[in-house]
Amino acid sequence: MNSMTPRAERKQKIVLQSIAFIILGVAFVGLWHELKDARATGGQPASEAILLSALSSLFNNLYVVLSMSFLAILFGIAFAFYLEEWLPATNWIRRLIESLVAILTGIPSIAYGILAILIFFSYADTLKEAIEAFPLSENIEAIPSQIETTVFYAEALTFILMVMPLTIKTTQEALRSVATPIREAAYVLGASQWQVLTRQVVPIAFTRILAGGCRSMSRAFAMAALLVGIYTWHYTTEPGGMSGSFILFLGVALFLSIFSSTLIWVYGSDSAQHS
Amino acid sequence: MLSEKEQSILSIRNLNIWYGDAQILSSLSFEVQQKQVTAFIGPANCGKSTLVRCLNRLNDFVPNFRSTGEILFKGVHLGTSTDTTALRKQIGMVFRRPVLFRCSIYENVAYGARISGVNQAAHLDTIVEKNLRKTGLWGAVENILDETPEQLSRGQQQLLCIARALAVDPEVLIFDEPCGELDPIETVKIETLVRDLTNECTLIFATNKRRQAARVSDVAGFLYGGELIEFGATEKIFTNPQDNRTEQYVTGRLG
Repeated sequence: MNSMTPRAERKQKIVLQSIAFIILGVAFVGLWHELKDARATGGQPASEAILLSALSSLFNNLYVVLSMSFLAILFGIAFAFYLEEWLPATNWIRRLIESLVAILTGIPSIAYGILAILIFFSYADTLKEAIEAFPLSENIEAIPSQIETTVFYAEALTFILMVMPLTIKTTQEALRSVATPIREAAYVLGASQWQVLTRQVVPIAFTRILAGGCRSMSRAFAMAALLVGIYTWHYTTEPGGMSGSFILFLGVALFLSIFSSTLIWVYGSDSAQHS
Repeated sequence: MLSEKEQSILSIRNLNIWYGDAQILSSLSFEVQQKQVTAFIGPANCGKSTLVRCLNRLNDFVPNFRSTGEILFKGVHLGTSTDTTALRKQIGMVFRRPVLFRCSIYENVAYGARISGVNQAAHLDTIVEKNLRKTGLWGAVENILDETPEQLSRGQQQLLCIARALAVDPEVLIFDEPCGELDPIETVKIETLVRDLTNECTLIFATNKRRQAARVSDVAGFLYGGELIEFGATEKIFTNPQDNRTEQYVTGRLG
């Protein structure tokens, strides 16, 4: 195993962080340029009206928001377990992903919303073709209308991109909050890694993992509420300008964030006891 | 032909250990005899814990840990292919601070048996009672087996940890400063227990209390600055040490 001085380690961290930043930067800038060119050459620019009508049908669908963020949270938790428990801290893949996660969690959710409108919606058709070319997706039942299918994939991607990094981060923190002596006490009795994880680590970290999941979900709902709100205020003639789904999403977001804080407040001290 | 008492169960040959660039232990070689108490003494940070944690491969979890040399357990080298789970069932350990799981006293003692797949209630009852009796804790906890161990005193918690470790039936039991946070009366209980346990397993005892090592051990090793200065019969180490530094340490002038 390689030994590193703190200085060299700091240097390596900076390099990894820069690489992660460059990857994200290039992706964003590249897509932005593509998009602008597409508009200039009159390729297939989605007009504002189409986008916004898509948006409304998108976020009015509570079922999609719920199921997608739920899936993203499950995958995020599984991925965090893999990173934290199976990959050594010095593994470069783990460090690169942690850098990416650190950057992605810092982006405000409204920025993701804009990203969704500008990039994913414009490329929704390509995206859909790509996903449907994948053999397994034959089993996915076709969603009736054309616009809804494309929107579904765009929406799914946005939620995954927004919810997963936060879930990974909170889950990793929860796993780290389980003190080493507890793990060691189980290991010296001959427990395997899996047994230590299921019998010691998960019961202690469970509340924090759950709270982290709720926090991520609350973030997703807050974004949905914001976009629906903007849409309805600007493009409908509804009196008062508030749609039912705006209230619903905002309510769910508020409830989830309060619920997660309560979880930490009530049960958090319980896991801190062991650290 | 060697008698059972004189057979060595653990052989350490030329062991070197590094954490990152810092060398913690250098060129250690010694033999641990069966059914004896082997104590390691030395001032703080001399590598006692690192040494005993190597024997059941607990240091594997430390990042930047590196070692050279050989550790033979019953003649088999502990290399990268060793099944550490099976190894740790044979080499148990008790820590300085009692660490108990968040479940009942009964489940704490039954933990080792449960993870090995024992599920019959009667069998588990026998294991729990037998090991709590061994540690002399049975009388105190007989009626509160289903309650959490938090209400017990520190010393009782440590005894419970020992009972939990014994329930796995280890061949070697390592104590890493088990009395570091206990008062004198509780310490005496643990020391008496350690002496009694020589009937059933081999004990390794790391401590920074000289008198304690003199009381409990048959063989003692003096560690200083990551080196094993002297290793031999306890009586000899404490009454007629060969090395100047050992003499200074046991008489209290060093460390």
